[in-house]
Amino acid sequence: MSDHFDLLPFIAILMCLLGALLLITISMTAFNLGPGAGEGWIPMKDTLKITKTPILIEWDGVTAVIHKQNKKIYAEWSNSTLLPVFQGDTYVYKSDSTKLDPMLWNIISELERERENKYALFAVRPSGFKNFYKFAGEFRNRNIDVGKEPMEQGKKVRLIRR
Amino acid sequence: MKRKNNKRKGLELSLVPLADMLTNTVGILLFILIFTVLTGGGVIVPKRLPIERPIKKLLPITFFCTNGRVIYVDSELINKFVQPLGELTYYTVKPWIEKFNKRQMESDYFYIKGEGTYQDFYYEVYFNLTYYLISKPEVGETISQVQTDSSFFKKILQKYPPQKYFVDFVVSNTDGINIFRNAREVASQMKFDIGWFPESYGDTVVFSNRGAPMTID
Repeated sequence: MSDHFDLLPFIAILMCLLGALLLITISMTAFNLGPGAGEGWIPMKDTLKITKTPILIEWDGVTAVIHKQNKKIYAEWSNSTLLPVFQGDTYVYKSDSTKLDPMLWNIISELERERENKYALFAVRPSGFKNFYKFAGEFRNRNIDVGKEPMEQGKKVRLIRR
Repeated sequence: MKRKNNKRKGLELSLVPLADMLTNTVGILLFILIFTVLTGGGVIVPKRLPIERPIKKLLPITFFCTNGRVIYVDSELINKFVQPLGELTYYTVKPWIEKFNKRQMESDYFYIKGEGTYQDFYYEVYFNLTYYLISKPEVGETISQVQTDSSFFKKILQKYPPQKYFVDFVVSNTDGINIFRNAREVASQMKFDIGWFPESYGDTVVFSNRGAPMTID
């Protein structure tokens, strides 16, 4: 009686466990490398030796997602608030501060104050291509440096500080 | 008698190797699971973060990135489009704009048409000329084609010195990002400065005499 030991339930349980783990692992890998994959940008040293600190702003055509101190701040914008303003020797378009979303105005005024040390880095979604130039004009026309990079719709992006 | 002994030996089965093998497998799978969860934030890309700079005296070599392909936009196309229309002066502006709006042209990669308007202020005329370059289907190069040594993209760039030219990409909102990144990498390796502009007309590039100024990033 003691010689007889049935391995079948033991193997069945382990196989179930293995199968479940394998399924979870494959699902997680597929999700993280597939459509759910995001991008983390690490600033790389280059020949330009840019010393300004980027403030990452995602733009999808309607909402600006401002990445600040590991937090995401959401601000709405539309070109309906733009007004022609005579600047230098030409007209430029920018919104009055009272017409802008307060969250957006906060970051614009901060970048205006610290334009020597900071600049706006835009991750532009395809849905934001149409009005990006006008949106970025809110920054450019206040003499804030900008940078831009296209980013797939829905793909996560974050800035990794060194 | 011999046969009986063999049978008894078969029943003395040790579970240790089996358990060892299974726990090892479970361990490896758990390790993979933890790794994938930790990298849940996605791919980390070290990159030179873009910041716009003026083009100074550099001249553009323009490419259009759309539908997974990169298409060369010959700078002579616009000249070829307006050349048969004659000279544009204060006195010829009305018929000139009419001819401009009717004109259609075709190149190897694009169908081209124009849309012009003007406003007459006594002795000054303000006009707005827009050129629509509609890309033909299946023209240009895909990611894998661009990366080959014999690619048309590389051949075009080899014609121009990077000290005098920069590569200006027009990136479409319809599947233009991935090909742009790959083509930019190739152009960057060839020591060119790069600029790009977002385009929201799908398979069409739009140029205007009142468009945004070019920059390099």
